[in-house]
Amino acid sequence: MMNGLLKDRLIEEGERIAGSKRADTIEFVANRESSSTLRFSSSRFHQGISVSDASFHIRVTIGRKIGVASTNSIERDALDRCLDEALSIARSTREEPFLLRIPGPCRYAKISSFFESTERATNGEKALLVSTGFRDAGRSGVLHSGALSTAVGEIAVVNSRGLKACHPYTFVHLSSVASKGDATGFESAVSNDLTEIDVRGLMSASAGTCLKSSSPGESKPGVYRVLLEPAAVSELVHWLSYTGFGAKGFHDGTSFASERLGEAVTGEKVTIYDDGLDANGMAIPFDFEGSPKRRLSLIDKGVASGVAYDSVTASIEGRESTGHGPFPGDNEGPFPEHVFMEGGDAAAPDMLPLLGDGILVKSFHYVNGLLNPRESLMTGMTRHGTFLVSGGAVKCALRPMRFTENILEAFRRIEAVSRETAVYPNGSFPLGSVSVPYVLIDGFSFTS
Amino acid sequence: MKGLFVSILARLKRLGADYADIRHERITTESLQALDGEVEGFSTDTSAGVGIRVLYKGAWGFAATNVVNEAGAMKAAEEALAIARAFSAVNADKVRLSEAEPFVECYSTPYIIDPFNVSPERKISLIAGVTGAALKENGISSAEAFLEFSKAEKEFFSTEGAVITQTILTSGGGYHVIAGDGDDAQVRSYPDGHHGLFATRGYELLDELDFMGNLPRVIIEARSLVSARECPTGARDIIIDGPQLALQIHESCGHPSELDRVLGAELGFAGGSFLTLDKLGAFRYGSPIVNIYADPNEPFGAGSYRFDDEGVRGTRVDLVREGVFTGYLTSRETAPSIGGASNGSMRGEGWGGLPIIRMSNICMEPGKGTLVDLVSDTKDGLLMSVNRSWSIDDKRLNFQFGSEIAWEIRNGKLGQAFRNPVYYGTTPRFWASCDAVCGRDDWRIWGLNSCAKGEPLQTAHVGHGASPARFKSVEVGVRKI
Repeated sequence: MMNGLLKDRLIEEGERIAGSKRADTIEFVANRESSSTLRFSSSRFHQGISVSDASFHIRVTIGRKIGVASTNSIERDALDRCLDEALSIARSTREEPFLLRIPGPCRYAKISSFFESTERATNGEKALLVSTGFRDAGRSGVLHSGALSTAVGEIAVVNSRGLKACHPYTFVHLSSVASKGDATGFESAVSNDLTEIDVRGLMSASAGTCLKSSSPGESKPGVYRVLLEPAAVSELVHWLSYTGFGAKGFHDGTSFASERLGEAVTGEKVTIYDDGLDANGMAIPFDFEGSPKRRLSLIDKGVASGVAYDSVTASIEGRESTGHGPFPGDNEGPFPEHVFMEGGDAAAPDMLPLLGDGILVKSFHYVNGLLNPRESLMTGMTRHGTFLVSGGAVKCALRPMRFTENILEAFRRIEAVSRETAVYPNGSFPLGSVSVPYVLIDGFSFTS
Repeated sequence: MKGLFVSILARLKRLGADYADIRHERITTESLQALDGEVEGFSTDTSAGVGIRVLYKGAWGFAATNVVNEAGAMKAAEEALAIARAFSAVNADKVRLSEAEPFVECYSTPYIIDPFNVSPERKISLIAGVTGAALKENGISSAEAFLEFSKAEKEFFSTEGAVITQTILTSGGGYHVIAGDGDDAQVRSYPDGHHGLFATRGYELLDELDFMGNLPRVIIEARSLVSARECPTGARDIIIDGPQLALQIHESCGHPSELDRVLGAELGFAGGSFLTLDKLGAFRYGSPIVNIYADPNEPFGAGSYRFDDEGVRGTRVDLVREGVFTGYLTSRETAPSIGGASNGSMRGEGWGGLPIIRMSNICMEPGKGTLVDLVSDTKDGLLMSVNRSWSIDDKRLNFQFGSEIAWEIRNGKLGQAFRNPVYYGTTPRFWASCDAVCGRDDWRIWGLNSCAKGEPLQTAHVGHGASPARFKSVEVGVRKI
């Protein structure tokens, strides 16, 4: 529903606001987005949601005072009022102990995130794609739930130091949950390009897992060898990056990385980094302050090696931003949002034989990493496919199980990592992702 | 804008819509944060737009836009109709709405002090003051405080003739301190975790909460956790305080009693519910002293309103009465499945959120006595306070919750503190073990500002009335296996 891209208008308004010389520094961040979400439940569309919105954030500094205001109206008088509001806040607030240093003009990598195939697809065409999956599954009595979400948007950053950045994007995410009785299966895919998403194939794959999940058995709590598929690993790595690799948690001591940079925190098979420029994830050339994206090592062969900073946390600690300025208005500070866990040397099809005897976990549900983030203690449930494996082959389905585990310790016990990786959404902004492999762990605690 | 919206609704009817409604909202938000005595963030946000919902041949479409003029609203209406048409061509079964009276009314949540008229200096002093004071204390490594105020001005119009305006004013805030010794970092919050306590009240709420007066206790407790032992493991009698019980009610009673969830609307995302239709009126949810109700009319709850976002007057419903499961949170679409009318539980996040069934204020009725009485009556147990972590399965049965602190109870007396306490179980068995609920003196309505549901993810303010309660023989601690 978005009326084309407004790059020139956004930059023009940004230059007008940022060039007003009404404060020591002025930053203007604009995000326009039209999204469509077609939700389906039990092979029926139940919610179709189309939203066209924008956000215009203005951050000003007067000396060491900072003011922030935002509006969702692009009308000139609304933007002027927004600037007035930010100035009013800056005048009425207290001085910060640091001087905020914002980036100047930057050069950005060329990244293609905008695909006309996604922009042009109508809701009717997208509904037709999904309904084909309904019909396929119907023959085996499987019902489909999930959502096909698309977005078309653009982000622009302009500041009074002369920085100008603009990036258009498209986004597609399919989540497919197949169910038959209590048995379920799950598949998910994310891309900038709708034609890259094999909607029918993914729905068929989730139906296949569902059909294998029937008549689940019970398994006692205990420590098991596990093969975690990428969907499951993505939840753990997401929580590790949320609780461990942000500058705020590092500063206040709640992060497991606090005072441990340079120390081995996992086994050597684990390398995790953030790279907003890597097109294997959902790439973006700059962060929400206009700082260029670049690779940031987080765990290098098991050794804690880095933390994400934005301009605010970097200014406080007298260092450079790592290019992780959060979406304006997000008060939790910077986090890695383009996370990669490096693949290993095992082929995914060989991992089940390598597991031998143990449990295969397709995905996790409701993982929570706040139990004791300092120790990376997490809990969660298995979901959409838990299988007992014997002699390297799936023996039977199991009911969902709860794990409670120190994830960094578990990652010390990793025996094999697949070459193949899969990408999942990460965070609320569409251009965030986590890319992870299959992981075989010799000892994972299931507690109930 | 009324004339424009009425004419759009008339046009949608002419184009064949079974039903349509329009929500026009303007939400103003002010947020302040302080970290270690300094202002960490101070911002305002204004968001305005129109959301239009269309039912066409039994299928829904929803479109929303921030362009609040004739062209923008008309385009959204056409988009919503196009989605509904596309869905009606695929869906075999058709949506049927329960009857609802088309109200023509105005309503505003009551307050004494408009927080938007309170000076920035006063707000900054509150949060910078409490975090600065905390940081001066030995053993405290960091302190952070939050304030958030929002005013939602809402207009609702429907093809059935409803014209409703509401203004919902919400205030909230809180703080936490972190005590650390290099090897560990422990958090203690006031008055609740997760950015504090929220209510449909004015700034008077913040005055009453007395951040500074509670700081000495919070600091002592945080410091005690650093040297405290890990929470023991095994089956113990536990007393759960109000803020922690509020989250327990939220996750294990509120969400599973959402009828859209029961009927499968969230199967593709958050999951279903163990409270299936066959259980209504018959299922033993908890012990006979467990009484839980939903009521958007509860005064000052974070989830208080008079009309929901499909124009239905919010009414009280008993979810659990004397331990038996007795009711759902419903909408006009879902209510016919249990043979009734909607109890007014539909809300969308702002103008751009499709209304879905949300908790309003889900409250557990108070029992008898005080927390002091209950501790005195407990021979061997734990008192757990303020939520820290939460996880529950997709049917809302298997849960594990962690709190910030637990105290040992021996022979009716509180003893040493334990760190990293968790308890876990399955929902009906857990509620069946409830043998005591404290009385009205210890009851208050707690409020969260971040209940998440739906795709795209929507957050809502929800209230939970609770007083401390005791549960027998609950598994606690993280077992070493």
